[in-house]
Amino acid sequence: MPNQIHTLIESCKKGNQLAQMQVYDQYAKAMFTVACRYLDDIEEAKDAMQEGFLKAFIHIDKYEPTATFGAWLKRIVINQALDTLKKRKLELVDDTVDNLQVIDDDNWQFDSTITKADILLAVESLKDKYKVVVKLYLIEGYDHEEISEILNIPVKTSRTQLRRGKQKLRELLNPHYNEARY
Amino acid sequence: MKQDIRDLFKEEETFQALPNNHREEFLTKLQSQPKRKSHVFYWIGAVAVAVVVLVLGFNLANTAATTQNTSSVLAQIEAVEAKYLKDIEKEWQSFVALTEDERLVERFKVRLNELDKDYQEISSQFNQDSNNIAVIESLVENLQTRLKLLKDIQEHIKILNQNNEQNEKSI
Repeated sequence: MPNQIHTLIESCKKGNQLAQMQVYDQYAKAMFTVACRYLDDIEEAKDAMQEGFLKAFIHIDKYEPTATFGAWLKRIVINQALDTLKKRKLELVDDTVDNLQVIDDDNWQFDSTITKADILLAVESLKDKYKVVVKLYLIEGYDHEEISEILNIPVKTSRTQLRRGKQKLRELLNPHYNEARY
Repeated sequence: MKQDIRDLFKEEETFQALPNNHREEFLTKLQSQPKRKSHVFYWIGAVAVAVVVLVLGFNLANTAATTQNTSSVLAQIEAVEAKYLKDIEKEWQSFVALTEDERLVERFKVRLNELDKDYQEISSQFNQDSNNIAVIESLVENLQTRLKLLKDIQEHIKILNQNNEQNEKSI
């Protein structure tokens, strides 16, 4: 597998369309799935995914095999999807967080009856600015350095938003909390 | 009981189904991108055209000795032509060696013969009007197309072979 993709990438560098289509076929589904996490409109997600591929092919000379090709591509597709979100004037930065003290807790222990589907549903109901950070961290597995690069926000902001997003998630997913509320 | 929900997302996930026609759509987008020419072809082409243009310019500047110079232009062009034909023959041989698919070979033979017929036509135009740059350019272009055709199909076959090998290994 690594060897094969390597050959394909070399052909892509020469602008070989056949190779580009093969790369597309190999990664389109996974990349579309990624784009769908940020854009709920299927058409928008597909366009972001395809634009991502086109960008990747234009800049393929910049790809360095330090990361896997899939990871490199995913980063481009996520950026593309977030750009689409930004066009809708989504505010990703919260200025009021700077003065807050950041407690960096690494505790993601939730009740074990909670399923992946429950979590995804709860994430969708978060405010947009928390939603994106939570997705980048929890689902894509990026760290705060990477999130701060992708969203162009300070690391501190990324940490704060994640912590708040997680708090919200706990409220949404804690059955006792809900019982007490209603 | 508690669980770290980050672990839930480390597992493989199910993929979203792509909309129909996404592939065709992407191919169209890809084709409408400004094309990155293969460097090698670009340079071979540029050098060939430059040689021809230089020689022609020289020829035009010396109109007095037209007949004599035309023959030297012809010699230059013949040299370029011979070089290309040699390369094309070489690529053809390596293409035939690479594949066992006789239908494919036949199909390419037909295509190359068509290009060769075109070439003969342009050649006869060139014999009538040997000072026409456009004619010379289309001669070179014709040769380049043949060469590129052969290189592309070989690359394709190589990728296919690798895929097959890969599949055999994974079985």
